[in-house]
Amino acid sequence: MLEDKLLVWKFKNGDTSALRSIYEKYKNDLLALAITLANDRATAEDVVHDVFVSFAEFADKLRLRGSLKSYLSTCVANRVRNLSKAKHRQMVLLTKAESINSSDNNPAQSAMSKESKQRIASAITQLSYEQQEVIILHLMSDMRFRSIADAQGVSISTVQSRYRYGLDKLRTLLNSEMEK
Amino acid sequence: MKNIEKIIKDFCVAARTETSTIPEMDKRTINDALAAHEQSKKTKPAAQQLNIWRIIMKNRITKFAVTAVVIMAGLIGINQFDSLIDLAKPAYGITDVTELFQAARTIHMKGRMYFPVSEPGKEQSSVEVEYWLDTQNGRWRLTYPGYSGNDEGMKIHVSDNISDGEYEMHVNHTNETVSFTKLSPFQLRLFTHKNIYTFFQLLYINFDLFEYTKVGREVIDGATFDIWEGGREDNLGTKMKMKAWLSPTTGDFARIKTWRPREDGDMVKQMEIDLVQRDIEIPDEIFLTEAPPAYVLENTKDIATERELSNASVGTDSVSLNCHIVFTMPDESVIMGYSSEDRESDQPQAMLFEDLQIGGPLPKLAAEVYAIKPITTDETITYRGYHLAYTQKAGKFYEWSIYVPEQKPAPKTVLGYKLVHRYNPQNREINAELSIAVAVELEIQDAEDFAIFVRGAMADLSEEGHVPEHVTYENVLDLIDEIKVSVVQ
Repeated sequence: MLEDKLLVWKFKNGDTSALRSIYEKYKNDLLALAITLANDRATAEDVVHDVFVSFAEFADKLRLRGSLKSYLSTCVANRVRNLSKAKHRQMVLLTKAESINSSDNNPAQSAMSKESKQRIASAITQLSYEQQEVIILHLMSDMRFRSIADAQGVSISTVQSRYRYGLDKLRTLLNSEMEK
Repeated sequence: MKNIEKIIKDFCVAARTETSTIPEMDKRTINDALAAHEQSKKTKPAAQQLNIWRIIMKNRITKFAVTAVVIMAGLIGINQFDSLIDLAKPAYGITDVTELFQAARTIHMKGRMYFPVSEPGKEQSSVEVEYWLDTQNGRWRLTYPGYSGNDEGMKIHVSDNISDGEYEMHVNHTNETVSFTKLSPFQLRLFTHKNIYTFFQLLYINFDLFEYTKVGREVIDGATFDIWEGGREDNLGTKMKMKAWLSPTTGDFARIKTWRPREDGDMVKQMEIDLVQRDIEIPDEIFLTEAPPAYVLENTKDIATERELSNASVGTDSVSLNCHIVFTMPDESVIMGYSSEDRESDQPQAMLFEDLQIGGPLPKLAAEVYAIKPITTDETITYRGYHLAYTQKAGKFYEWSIYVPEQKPAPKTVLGYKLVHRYNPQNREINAELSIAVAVELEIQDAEDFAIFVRGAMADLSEEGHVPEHVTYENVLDLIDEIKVSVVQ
């Protein structure tokens, strides 16, 4: 976190290499987050691009309250959410889930069996977006519930409820898949 | 089956470790980011910047032992008015104009707000206030002061709230900070509607508590205006006065003034509005949500989130209670959407909403609002709560209850409601008592209002906008009648 603050400070003071360092440090994590939330690599790349461009544009004025990683992760999640609303996301996701899961772009492909990954990705798309966001931000971006609550503008108990109910639903969905 | 949390964690870890960007993306992102950074350093035009805070700094700060937040004023485009009164048109009175403004495409008001003084004869300081509203596109710009103070002196704060139809930007000119909130389509519609209503309340126009009298007529720039006076002093300790110059021909205002009581009871100026315009073309620049140069961003649009509808909320370590929205029906019954979470319980809330009956008992939430009491001169009146519906969003449940006045006729003039609640389970120990009052939010006058605002609010607090089919204006009115009959029996 101190390193991040130093990088941001350097960037604000004209050191453009600091921006490159920030980008290099977080680009892959943010892309993975965006792909998981958007379920589409091309969309995810655009989101990460736009987040960094926006960060660079406002960095001089920005007062970071939490970690830089949390800020950038929240930016990614919000951009995906906004895009998704415009495109009636749920329908798109449900129809795309199978093809995306079988593509080479899926980040989890080689770490887990293709079947497991397909089932998990499909189950995640069936959660409400708010639940997906809490679970992915917590488990993938390591954001604390308090930070997610601050970012989403809701109480920490709401975030915890979303997390708990989301996992409950995933458990049910994945169990029923296994029983089929 | 392995622990579900671990399965998802493994999935996420795999995603993180096996994803990488491609060089083309890296190059494009870095180049565009650096270009954006360079562009942002260029000076922005000063024309859009507000100088209200500078005006304030020139004003004398007066002593006053009170803390308050107040809002603003407006004015009239006098030159818009015809000099001749067309006798064929309806004559507008002070209580007729609300609908005219509700139907307006755009509204612009400008004037000054005056701050209280504790000593007779002392000059009141004032600040310019301005309000722009584009009802068609959910855009507004409100420049308003507030003040806080004690015996050591009074401090004036000025803020701007600007909506561009998607985001609301809050500009704090005292701290020189900016923050953003994202607004849902329903919130845009609700706030647009409430803005007009709230503004008229602040100016005591068509105010329920007031009685109005036409006291004279004056010609301003060749146009004739009726002079109306309104006021009220009652046992709530409320003493207020307003005066308005209203065209009987067009229903437009030339001037509006309000007064409030000083500590010694004498009336002092509160607001003077000298420009009120309707249906004018407002430049898009007015609604730009770009932070003033040198102001610090508390957040950016990128991380701005939709605010959950909320009227008032309280909480302890173990129980939270959030009143999201309150509607008053034509018979003075109240529909309220609220939620309550038990922070000590792992029990899914879904169980509390099973087998509920429409018009039956409320769900046993951690804080169950079983009744409300109107804030009025008669505190013995109680509205009893009955279940109407529930909605669910992202695992959170929202109870929609209807509160029907019992025993006595409901008063027409209500300033707000106190929530009367009990804790569930009822033997639990709460380390702090929750006390909560909510403001009167919107009055539902017909089926259209109901469809837009009540069903709209339910959709806003519901997964994918789902609203229970039985919640219609007619059904709710029938339900209220049934409840009243059953209470009498």
